[in-house]
Amino acid sequence: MRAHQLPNYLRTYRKRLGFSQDEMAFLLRLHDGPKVCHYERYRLTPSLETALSYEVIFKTPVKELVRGMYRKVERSVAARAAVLRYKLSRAKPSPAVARKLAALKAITSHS
Amino acid sequence: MSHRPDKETLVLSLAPTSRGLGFAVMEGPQRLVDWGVKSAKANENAQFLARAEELIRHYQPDVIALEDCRGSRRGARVQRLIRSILRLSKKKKITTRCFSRRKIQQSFPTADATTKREIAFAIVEQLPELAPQFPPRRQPWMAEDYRMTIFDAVSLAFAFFHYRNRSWGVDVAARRT
Repeated sequence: MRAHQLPNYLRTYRKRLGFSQDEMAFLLRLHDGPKVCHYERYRLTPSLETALSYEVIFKTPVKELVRGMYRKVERSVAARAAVLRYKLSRAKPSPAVARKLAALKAITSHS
Repeated sequence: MSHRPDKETLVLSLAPTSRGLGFAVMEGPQRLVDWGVKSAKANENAQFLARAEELIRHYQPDVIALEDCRGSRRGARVQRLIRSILRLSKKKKITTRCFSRRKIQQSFPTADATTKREIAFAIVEQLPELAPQFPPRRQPWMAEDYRMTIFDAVSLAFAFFHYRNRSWGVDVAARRT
């Protein structure tokens, strides 16, 4: 099993469609091709608007396009959810706390 | 998706020729991540090696697949370059697998592909994104199309996945480089 994953697959999807980086920059409403290059070389992270534009262009969910980054975020959120779950489990029981605990359990068990 | 690319081995295959360095990055046998030809000045092995190092640094592959050129008719410079890449991967502690042309041909048994063009055609059938790179039929007076090195690189990655669970690929860790 791989120890790490590629942060994103933007270059793969662009090359599949045969677009140049300049054409991609035009579609993404960026000023120049180098920014696209930076995204593809993992030097820059696309903004939410750019990420959604990628989803529209490639017809693939953002989660799939930035799979490595998604896994990293997922692990990070799960770790914090585990801490919050521990804290809440020691709080006074109530329906609201039970609802939160169920949500946190779902987050930690999913990742 | 049915396959789990996140569980797959990332393979960087390199096919150096006198005109350029063909490369392919595959995450499992069905997922081509990147491909292309890195150009470098002919007779400049240092430039070719720098391009290879750039790819290794960017993708941090689990395995590097190369051609086993022992006993082949490869030029001396390309053979030296392949040996340099082997040394580089050993230095970076990356597993390397080498496959001879014969082993590559045997890794396409269902397609009955033996020539480079037949192998390239079999690859395009499995990876349609490479169709625009499929070169026109070579005539006797024509030099080999530079894009054929992409298919050479992809065929090395295919050979790796074909022989993955067997011990047919040459493990260069155990070989003097």
